[in-house]
Amino acid sequence: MIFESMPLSLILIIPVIGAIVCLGPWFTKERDVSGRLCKGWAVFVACLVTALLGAIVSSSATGTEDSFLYLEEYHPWMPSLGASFHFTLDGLSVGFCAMTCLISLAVICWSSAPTENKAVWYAMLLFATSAVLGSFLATDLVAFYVFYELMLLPVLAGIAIWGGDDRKRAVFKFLMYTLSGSVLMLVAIVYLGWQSSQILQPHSGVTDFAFTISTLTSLPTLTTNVQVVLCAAFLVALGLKIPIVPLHGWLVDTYRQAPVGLVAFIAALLGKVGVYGIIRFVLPLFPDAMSIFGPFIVALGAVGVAGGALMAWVQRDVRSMLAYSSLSHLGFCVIGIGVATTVSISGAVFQAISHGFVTGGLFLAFGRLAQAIDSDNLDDFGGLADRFPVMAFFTMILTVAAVALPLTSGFVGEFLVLMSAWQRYPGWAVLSGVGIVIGAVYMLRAYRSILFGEGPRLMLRSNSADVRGLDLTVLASFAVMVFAMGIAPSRLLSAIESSVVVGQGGVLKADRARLGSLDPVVATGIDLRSGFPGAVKLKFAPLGSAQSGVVTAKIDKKG
Amino acid sequence: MVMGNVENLLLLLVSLPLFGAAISYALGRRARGFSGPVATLAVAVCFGIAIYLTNELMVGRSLHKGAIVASFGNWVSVGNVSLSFDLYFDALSAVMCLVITGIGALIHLYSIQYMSSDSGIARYFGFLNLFIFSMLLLVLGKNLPVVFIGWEGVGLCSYLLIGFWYKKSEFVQAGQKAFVMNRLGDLGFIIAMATLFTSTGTLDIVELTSPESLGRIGEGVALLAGLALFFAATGKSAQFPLFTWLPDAMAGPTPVSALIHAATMVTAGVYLIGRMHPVLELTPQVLSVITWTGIITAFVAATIALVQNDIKKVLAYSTVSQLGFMFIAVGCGYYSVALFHVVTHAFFKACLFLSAGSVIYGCHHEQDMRRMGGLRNSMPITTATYAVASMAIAGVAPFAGYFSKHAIIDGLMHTSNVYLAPFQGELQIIATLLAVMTAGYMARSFFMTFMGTYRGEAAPHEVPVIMWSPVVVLAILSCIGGWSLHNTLFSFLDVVVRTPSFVLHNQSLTSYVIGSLPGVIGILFAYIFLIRAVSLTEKLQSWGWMVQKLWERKYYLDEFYDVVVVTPLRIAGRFLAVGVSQGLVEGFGGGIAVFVQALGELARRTTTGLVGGYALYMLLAIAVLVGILV
Repeated sequence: MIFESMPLSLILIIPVIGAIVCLGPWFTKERDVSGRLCKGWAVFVACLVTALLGAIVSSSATGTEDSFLYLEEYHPWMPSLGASFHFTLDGLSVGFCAMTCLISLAVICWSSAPTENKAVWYAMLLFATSAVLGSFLATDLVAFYVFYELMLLPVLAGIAIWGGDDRKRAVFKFLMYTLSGSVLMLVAIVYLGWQSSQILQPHSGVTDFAFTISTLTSLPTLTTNVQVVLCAAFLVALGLKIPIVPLHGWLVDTYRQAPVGLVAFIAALLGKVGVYGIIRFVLPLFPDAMSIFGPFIVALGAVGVAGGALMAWVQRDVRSMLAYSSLSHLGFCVIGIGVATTVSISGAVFQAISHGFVTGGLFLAFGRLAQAIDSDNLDDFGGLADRFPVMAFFTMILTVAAVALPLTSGFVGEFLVLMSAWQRYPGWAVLSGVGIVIGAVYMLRAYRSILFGEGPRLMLRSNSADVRGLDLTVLASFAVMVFAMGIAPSRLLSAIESSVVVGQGGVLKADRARLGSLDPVVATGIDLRSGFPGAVKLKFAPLGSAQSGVVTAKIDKKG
Repeated sequence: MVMGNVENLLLLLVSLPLFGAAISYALGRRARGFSGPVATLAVAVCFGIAIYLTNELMVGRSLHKGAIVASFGNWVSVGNVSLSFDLYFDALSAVMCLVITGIGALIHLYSIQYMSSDSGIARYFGFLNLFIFSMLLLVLGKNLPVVFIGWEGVGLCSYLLIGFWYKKSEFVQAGQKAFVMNRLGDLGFIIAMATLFTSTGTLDIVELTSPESLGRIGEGVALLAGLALFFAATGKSAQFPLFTWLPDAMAGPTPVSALIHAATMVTAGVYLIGRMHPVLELTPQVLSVITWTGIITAFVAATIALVQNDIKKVLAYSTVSQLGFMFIAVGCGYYSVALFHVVTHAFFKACLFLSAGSVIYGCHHEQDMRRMGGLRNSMPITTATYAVASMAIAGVAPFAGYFSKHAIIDGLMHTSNVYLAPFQGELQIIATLLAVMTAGYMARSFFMTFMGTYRGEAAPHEVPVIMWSPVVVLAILSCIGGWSLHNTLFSFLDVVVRTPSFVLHNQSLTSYVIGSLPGVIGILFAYIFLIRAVSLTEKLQSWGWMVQKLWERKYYLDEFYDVVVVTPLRIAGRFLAVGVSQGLVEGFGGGIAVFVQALGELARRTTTGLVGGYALYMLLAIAVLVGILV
């Protein structure tokens, strides 16, 4: 059955099919097909994907305390290149994937879609969802790169079509920034592939390239100098997306120009691909380089936390404020990556997912209020709590989560990162702590300017009303997520921990350690034993030429 | 852990106000009349549970090392971090719980009438119950992160309730100031957790304060952790120099000021230091810093209180000043004495605030004492309660405040702290002077409000019985709460925080008289300067206008912060945003952009629009990749 042979591919294919169907009438010149119909269809597709992910997770995970989800799917793609569709759903990717599904469902449901070209809008969102999910699932570098680039297409199209007045500049800037990073990463990937073929050839006798992370990490480690260069290339490319200071130049323009739903999508998901990419690929591939870069990454992260908070403080524009606040909050992910202990990485991943919900929700809510008065300027708002009491209630919850109050999701990640950072970098930890304090200043000031005080300076649009129906459900789900993650974070944390095992010397060996515990018999064609840490002589069998298959495994905790 | 009835009751004690908050908020939005009684009932039941649990503790049943321990289950667990929602009910928590729920229930009851005409009554009681929940979590948390939940939770509730009338922007701003200054202190809390966790590997308070863990804490770490904990307490308990938020917090409804900003939340710092005292005792220099801070705070706040005209502001500064007294005791190592002052202070300060609330209610939202006066005729009950509570805070025997304040001043004489012992005499003189000042400003506010003739335009009237009855209960407690609780409390607390022997001496009538002298002198001073020799006062004012100005402007502390902290940070933010981010970063990006622009131009010529160009570029990139590899 298709579900059994390619469950993860199905997750990626369904939204694409959904998008094409959505676009169908647009191509047949029936362009004025009801937006409502498109929305219904898009909601259905997004629900289907979410449900599918849920089904996969529940059928793969046994549910017992000591075992964790692990699902691998492999399809050959370009055998001569060694590129494959190699997808892995494990503790590291499952949170990101679930977040992607939920955020995209929320954005699709949220009723501030553009009034024109609705079919294209929903198709764009579905395409983007598929690409983002692809990046979170891919464990083959080429596939990751392709999804990583594909993800940009619908987003850029969205800004170009529905963006603000200055959208051309924003699109161009975003494009330039991302591309310059991508080029570096592409070169690094190509080098890695070439390097692997050099090593593999004597074993297999044929010229083979390998891009799968498990294969690459099982090869002898690269010399430190090579690692440093390649690692830097990856870090720049992925750091641009997060963004890491000082690579955030594109951030504000993009966030200001993107349409309301899309900006929530971008803010919640795109940067997380960077976080995920570094943890999934960079940490295991370049352990020595990462231990060299570690202190610098921590420093940049802390500067991002404090600097982002300071910059958010002086913004008068709600979107710029949220953009810099993202820079600030994601600084904790950066610190977590730089510290590179089990706790810090888990904290970083948790923080990334939490930020997705908090910032995504805030962008949707504030975006709606901004639409009501036709301005993004904080000075133009005021006293909206009277007209929008329900909105005020839920926005307060999200604000409180952004301020990282305990029992909300925002606290857990920042707390774990700070606790682990303190041991080696107390100074930077204090600096980021100062960022948390300032975080309270700008978030509460924004909330006060928008919802409290005297009535707005500008006229409210006549059709503006408090949230209800589907929108209310969306906001309520965000609130539920924020509290659920804050009160009971253990399941997610232990899932993350199961995929993130830090080896000796403080270097993450994500896949090695975990795959090492797999029974080689279950693995189709891959001698996973070869990656076991401590294996002195690498016995490597390259991927079977045309085999495809799915691996599910139960992994014992700390196995 | 097997949970018996007692443990379940402990869990219920914490969760009840949370349910109360949800129910009263949900109900109140439908039918306004419900939320008050529901919320009040929830807290009253909590008080009952707290009494029961305290009794269990006293008779020694179901003891687990002198405490009742219960858990809601696991919270965060990853790597070497493992936290649970554990509760710990020992003598220290018991006293705090009784104060929180007891005073809390009375203030809830009072609020039903006070807030009855407000449209946001559901929100009000929801927040108030949420506050009780957070405060209980704060004093019951077994590990520091759970305490921190409560710590931040009370900060949030305080913020929400100060800015309760959210239409008034300056009220919300006052709430925000409170939250942010507290947050500054919270940074200390986080640093303390980080340092202690790094050196001991645990955040559980019981484990942390065990001799093994304490042995693992080095000198430097202990100093840092101690200072960080103290800094956290400074923010929450409004100590110098972080006290300026508390007077502004008076923007909230008066019962809120009584509950949060007088009786309970602001004493959390004292509780925290009492709870963590084994860690602080590793470094006596930190303890001496605490005492000095307490002295400075008490003095600064008392001087400011002398010149305030807003009745709530006087009480706010007097709270700051009394918190200073508590810190003096804490620094000397007499935690039980400090806690005793927390309890008596909760009685008389809640009574004072609620009486002030009645005055404000009776005078139709007038808070300026210059437009009051002569209220003893129209509001006899309130006059009596205010008078009793004023006597208590002034430290006149046999009212409650006498016992706790006297113990604090005595404590300065007996302190064993090597950094304080050389200054025993001086410290005691200053503390006595502070007691005189306390009596002075309280008497001043009493004379201005209730004596003389009425100077306002409204028609003041006594408040209804539902409002004055809780105040009368508090007045009775302010009257008898000192001598009746004195010995019981000290022997009860002895298990957790050892009680110094000097407080248990039976006191003679002579010592009562001598001990009351500072209070009496203060009251006499106020009487002479305000009632008898007004012209002299005016003369003094004209001579000392600079000092008065200094006091009225709260020593220009807010202005100082604005110039030294806020403005530079904002300039830094603007510089980073405009100078660095837009200039340098975009310049850097621009450099790359110019490099790539050629390609973009090429693409734009062949296709239309940027997106097309991008698509083409990506195809090119993939083609290059294929080309290289095949």
